[in-house]
Amino acid sequence: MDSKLTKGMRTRLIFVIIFCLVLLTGYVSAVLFNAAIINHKEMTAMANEQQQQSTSIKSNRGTIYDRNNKVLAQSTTTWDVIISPYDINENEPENMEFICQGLADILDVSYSDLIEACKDTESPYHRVKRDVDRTVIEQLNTFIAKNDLYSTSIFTEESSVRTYPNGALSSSVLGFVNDNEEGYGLEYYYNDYLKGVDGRVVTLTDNFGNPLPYDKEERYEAKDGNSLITTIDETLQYYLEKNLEITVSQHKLENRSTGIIMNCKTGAIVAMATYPAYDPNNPSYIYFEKDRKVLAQMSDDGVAQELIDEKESVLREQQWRNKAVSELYIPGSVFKTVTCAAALEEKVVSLDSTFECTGIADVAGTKIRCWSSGGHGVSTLTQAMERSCNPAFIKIGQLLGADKFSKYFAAFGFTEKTGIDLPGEVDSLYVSRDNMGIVELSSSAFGQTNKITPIQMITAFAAVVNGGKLLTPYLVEKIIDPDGNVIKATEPTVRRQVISEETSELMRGILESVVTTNGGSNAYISGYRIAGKSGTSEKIDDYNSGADSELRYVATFAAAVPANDPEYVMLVICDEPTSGFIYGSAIAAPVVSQVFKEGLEYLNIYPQYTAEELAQQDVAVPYVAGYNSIRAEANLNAAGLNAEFIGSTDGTYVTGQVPSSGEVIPKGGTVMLYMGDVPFSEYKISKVPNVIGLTVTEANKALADAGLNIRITGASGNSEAKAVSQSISAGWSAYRGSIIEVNFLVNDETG
Amino acid sequence: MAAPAYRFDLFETSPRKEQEQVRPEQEVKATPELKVAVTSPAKSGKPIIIGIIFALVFAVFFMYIYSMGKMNEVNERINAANAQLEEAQAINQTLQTQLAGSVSLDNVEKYAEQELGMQKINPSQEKYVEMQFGSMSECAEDDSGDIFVTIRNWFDSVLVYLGF
Repeated sequence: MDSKLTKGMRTRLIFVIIFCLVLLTGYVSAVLFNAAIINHKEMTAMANEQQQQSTSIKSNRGTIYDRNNKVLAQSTTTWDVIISPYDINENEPENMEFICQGLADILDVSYSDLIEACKDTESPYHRVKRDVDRTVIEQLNTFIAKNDLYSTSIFTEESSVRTYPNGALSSSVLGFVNDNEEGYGLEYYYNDYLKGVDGRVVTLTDNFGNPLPYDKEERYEAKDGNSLITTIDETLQYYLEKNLEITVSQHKLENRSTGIIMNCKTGAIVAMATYPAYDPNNPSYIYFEKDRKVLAQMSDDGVAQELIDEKESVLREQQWRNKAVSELYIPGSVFKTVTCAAALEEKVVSLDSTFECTGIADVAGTKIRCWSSGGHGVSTLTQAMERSCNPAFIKIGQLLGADKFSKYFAAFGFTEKTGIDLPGEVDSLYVSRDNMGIVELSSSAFGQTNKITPIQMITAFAAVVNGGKLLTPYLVEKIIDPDGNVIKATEPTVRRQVISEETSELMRGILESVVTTNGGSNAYISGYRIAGKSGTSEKIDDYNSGADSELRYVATFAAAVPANDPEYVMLVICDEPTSGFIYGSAIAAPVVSQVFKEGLEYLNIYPQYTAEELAQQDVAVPYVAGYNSIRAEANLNAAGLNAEFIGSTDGTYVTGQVPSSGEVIPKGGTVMLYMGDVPFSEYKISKVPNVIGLTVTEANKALADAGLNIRITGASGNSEAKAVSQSISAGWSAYRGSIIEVNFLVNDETG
Repeated sequence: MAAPAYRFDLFETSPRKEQEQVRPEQEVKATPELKVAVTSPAKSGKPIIIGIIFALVFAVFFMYIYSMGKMNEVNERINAANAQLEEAQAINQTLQTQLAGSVSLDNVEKYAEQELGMQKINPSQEKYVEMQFGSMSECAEDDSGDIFVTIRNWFDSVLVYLGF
């Protein structure tokens, strides 16, 4: 028999094979069809659910810069440290205590809290600490690697934190926002520009969570927030805050201080400070020591915790509040600049007008006192401003009339918000025209009735000196996107012309004389032309309402520089001084003076000394050691100083001098020169006299008589100025010829 | 003589056929030689072609898989490098912020006064000098009349204008 396949067999075999193949193919096709076409949606959903992983890409919040592109606020990357109690118990339960102890040591957290968290063995996620910086994370990574711990037991998540590198500097302007996007300052006002839009990466992952090939990834890039270029100058801001801090400490202010420096030609705010402020890096911390003491005292007194928490909340909100825009105050005599400008503009007064002051004015039966109880006698308009005479301005207000007064009050912007780009600007409280009787008009004219914000006052003061233009103040110059493109820029805005250029020029002259009168007020700086006005207001509303049992004061000073063509104006307000001084000229004017001394050259405004100022300038003591007596004396005389020799001058040389070379003393001072072998132990000693309360001339004489030199600071040229402090206390001993620095102050309403 | 294409004797086993096979020999005329190309199974080449095709398919398949693997590897390196870059940028930003804080004006003043014993300058220590003329000097124009110098100067002024 032939075992070879026949044709029929082959045909049948092929048929069977094909049939099987068709069956198989048909089955596979049917399954595929079912999965890909009929159950397409369910299958896709199941696959996506299993494989798809979505990760958020955090966007960066925009940065806030000062006008010189220095960073004021920036977001930096931090990490949150997470543990997985489930994984710890699953993979390395024997290491649990070791892990908790290590974390407690590195992160400075509670060991017992960690142990407690690890008892929840079902939990895969427990946040140990937030916002940990890089150095600590590196320690943590070293700890994990060194001890071969599971990466699923301890891991980190990237986060970001808002950082303010200068701490509390400009905190009242910058502000902050919380997680709910509520907050203060520029951070809140421009939040929509600053915040970015988070991105997302959608990838397919394998069984182990590793991403599948790259082209399967869908990426939606994060859009970083825009950045702000502000008008703030970090250097000026620092000078302002530093001097406010000194004043708060010196005069023990009970209700904070505020200062604003503005470009009076554009309205750009170059510095704005409230002190005490807070550190936006930790806004919850109560910064004002007095407030912390209040809370501590409440705790010591056993007050209920709820009341303490409530008080703490009130204090916290107060410290966040920007005093320059969100608090009202009675402007006091600074407001006289507005009354005077309005009266000159309406020509109801002129420079030749005269006013009589007996110390008290009777207005429809109401007695209104002048700060000078003895009265000023007859004053011209300029003198009335220099003397800050209340009866004179009552008269000016009455000459202006209620209608025109109200009109200029509104024209100078006191009835509306300034429109500054900060949140929380409040409306003023003022007597409307309908309610303005003769008494209200009279007291309003010298600034003792209406309550306004500091930003309204400085804007109006700028209009008085800048040619009459009422500007809109602003803090943000431009907004840029992450690529540096400008998406919004602020242009200076003139709201209206309030007074004429001629009137403004007259006002500049009057206000300059306020600062230079009597040889210079507390705001006077040699070489600079400064226009200014002080103000001291009584918080009469709080006193009359019983809110305060004691009458308190607000000391203010407004200044413009240079007086002939002002570029910058500054306003300083010191609320409730308790040092014994109350006048704006004594408390606020020195702040203005000091800030200008430090800041004007920085602003490229250089001194131009008159011959008289040059003659009065201090000199540096020259180096004369090793010279003979003739040569030493000649050198000292050339510098405008005198020499006093101790020891024989025959053939000897100077071996010691007091004061030493480089020290600065007024011309006419005396330098002690020790000749030959006079030992140090034989240097002459003088007892320092008490010069507090003496005038410049008296103090100079007293110190000269004691063989000491004087260095004068403060209102050095003013004949009314009295010494308020001396660098070495009375009764102490000092080497003959030593320099005693004495600070002089004019302590009244003038200046 | 070539082998016949079909071996009918293998297919027919009927007596008729077997009888036909006993027929007396007929005169068989020799057929003309046919020259037919012979390809033995051993030399047919089909397996080689199939092998080459398989090898090519395998090679392509292997290259595809290898390239996918390489792409994965490169992408992982890119991702790792990007992650490192982002981390380095974040660290840089943190350090910049710390640096800005450490050189704040407050710290600088305190360090200068407390550590270095420096003092702020006194106004009397500054001497301002009034310049009679501007602080910039002007180059005298070259008016030698040389055309080449003129062309060169013109070219220089164009470059200055363009900011180079």
